[in-house]
Amino acid sequence: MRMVPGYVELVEILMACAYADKESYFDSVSEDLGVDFKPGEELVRFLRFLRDDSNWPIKVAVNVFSEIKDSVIFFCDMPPSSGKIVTVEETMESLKNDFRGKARCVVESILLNNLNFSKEEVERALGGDLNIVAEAVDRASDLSENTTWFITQLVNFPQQSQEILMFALTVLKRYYEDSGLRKKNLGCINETMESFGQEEYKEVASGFLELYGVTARDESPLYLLLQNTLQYPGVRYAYACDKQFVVLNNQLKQLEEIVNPYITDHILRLFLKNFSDPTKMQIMVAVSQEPRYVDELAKLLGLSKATISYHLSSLGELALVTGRKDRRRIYFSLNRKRIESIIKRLEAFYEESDDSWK
Amino acid sequence: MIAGYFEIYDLTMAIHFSLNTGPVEKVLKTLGVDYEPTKELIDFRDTLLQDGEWTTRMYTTFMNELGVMAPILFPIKQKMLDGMIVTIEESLNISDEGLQMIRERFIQVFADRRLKVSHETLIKMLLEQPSEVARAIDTIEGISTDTIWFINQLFFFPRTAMDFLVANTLKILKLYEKSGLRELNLKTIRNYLENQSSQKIKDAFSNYLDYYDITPDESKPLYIALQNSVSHTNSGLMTYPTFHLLIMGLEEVTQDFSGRIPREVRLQSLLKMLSDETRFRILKRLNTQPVPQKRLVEFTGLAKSTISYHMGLLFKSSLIDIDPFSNIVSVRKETLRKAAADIRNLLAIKEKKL
Repeated sequence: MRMVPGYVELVEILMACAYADKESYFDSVSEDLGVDFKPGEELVRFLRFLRDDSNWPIKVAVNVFSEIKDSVIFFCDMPPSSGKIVTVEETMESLKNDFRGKARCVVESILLNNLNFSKEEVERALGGDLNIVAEAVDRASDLSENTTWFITQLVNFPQQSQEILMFALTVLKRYYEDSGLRKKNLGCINETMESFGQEEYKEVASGFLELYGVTARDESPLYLLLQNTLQYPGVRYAYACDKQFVVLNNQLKQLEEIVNPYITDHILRLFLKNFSDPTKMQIMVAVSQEPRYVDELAKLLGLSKATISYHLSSLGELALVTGRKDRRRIYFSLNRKRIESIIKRLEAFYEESDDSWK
Repeated sequence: MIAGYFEIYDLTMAIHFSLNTGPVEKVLKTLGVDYEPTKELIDFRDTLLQDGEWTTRMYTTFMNELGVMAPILFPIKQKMLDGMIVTIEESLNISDEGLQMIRERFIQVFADRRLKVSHETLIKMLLEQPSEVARAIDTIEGISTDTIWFINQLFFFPRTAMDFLVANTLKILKLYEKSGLRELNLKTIRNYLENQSSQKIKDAFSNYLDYYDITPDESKPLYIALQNSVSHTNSGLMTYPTFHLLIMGLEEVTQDFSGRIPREVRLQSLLKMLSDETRFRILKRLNTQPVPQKRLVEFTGLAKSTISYHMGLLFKSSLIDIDPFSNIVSVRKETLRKAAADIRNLLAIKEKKL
């Protein structure tokens, strides 16, 4: 499979919107992942612009971009070749020219990646059976009203959706620029692109796919999209319209540590910290018995779905649990291989013969 | 197993708290124990710390650093009984006979724990090579010159040592009384012992053993001494040549260890302690070689009080052993082994045989 590392600026805007929408959630996950994330002054400015803006399309866009950011990325063209940058202006230009085509990919991605449709169901839906979409959207209780509204608009009123989207993008782009976030991110990204070779990207990306149990498709290129806004992107892998991508942190060194099969002290401590949390421990015990989905875990533990989802995010980022799609649900199971190597590392502590601790 | 109240230990705890207030409170807070020192204890601490006399400094330093010696220095004359209360006055022993006994016992512990030689060898050394013994005392790590002075006195001038001990105990006792802490402690303990069966204390002790995963040698008698000064704290199980002793906080009996602590809760608190970066580094260092606390201060570059806070937590999680006599800290590998096994059990991850 061909891997194409690159940079799509809109991804950064989506990240900033996600943070604006769910700040405490991102902070909790960052804390679980042992990343000391504090928004820089540029991001703080961006958040302030959003807060001060009372335009409803902006409010809706921030909420929608946050909830289905992986699918929104399909509005963009992918980098034409390795190390290339797709600017926000380029994305907007291309949207003007082919909104319908792009919107179709976004809907396909929503069905596949957000509503967990099977490939066959997606074909049926896109073939004209829009009832399936409406029905599924209605039942998707973890999507907000804004998001279900946006999806419906996208399917039924492409013309109006385009206008709203272009308006929101124009405003968000201005905030992105005026806050200084654009300049900052471009600077950091250029630095990474220069210091990281093609081979290193491949190595990190392969480790990433293996660690998170992602099966990418061999027939299409895999885009490795970098982002610099957040320490934890909250998007992993998405596929639609014969395109596939993963979103990687700009801090590739940090990512390298996580994907490395060698368990460092830091990774061991993160495991201990997360496993010592009573809810996370309960979730891990529950998914060790059999694969389970969010609603099921929520009922079992007597907690809200949002709480369960947050804990699963952290456990998933640390590769302690993995998810598998089946009949519109994601079933989570324990990543036994990973945990086995972590426990081995803990055991090395008291096994005299092992001097790896010295 | 005999449970009672030996007032001198309550005073020892109050002195310990006075000299280590920050770390003691921080440890309990981190462990989620709702602890508020009594007004009386704070009063006691404040007058004690204000007392600028050198004898007070020497006495409190010694009692703080070698609190573990208290049972030797203040022997109980009566036959030990369940529910017994022994006051400080009753445990001051200055007869020639008592003096000899105290010195003898001290020699025994010192030979056994510090020099790793027989009792007889040390007695011979004291007669023939006193300077060797003095040198050995100097090498005890983590104790101050005040404590070294006192141990030397006890070996070579036992009468002076005991006079010093008795005079200063009585002096500190006045502060203890004046602060109201003595009355409060005695009243609380009397009330507890009169109204509850000693079985409750024994149950708490058994929960304590289960929690720390300790199996004491059953051939020796075991004494549980209550204390109320810092009511959520214990001394850790101390082993002497002829007995075991645990000084237990009253609220540990009535609350903390009143029921068996579920395995998962225990595991959670243990893993949380282990996941902290500083403590993890300390354990890694100790894993290569047990060292005295003082070395950990040098190794981590942290303040002494920060180290004693981390030691307190690691000790309360049963991750380390601290030899109370030499101050040497070592990793309790058994606790780690059990933790790993518990994780495997909970998640049903079997150990792969090679």
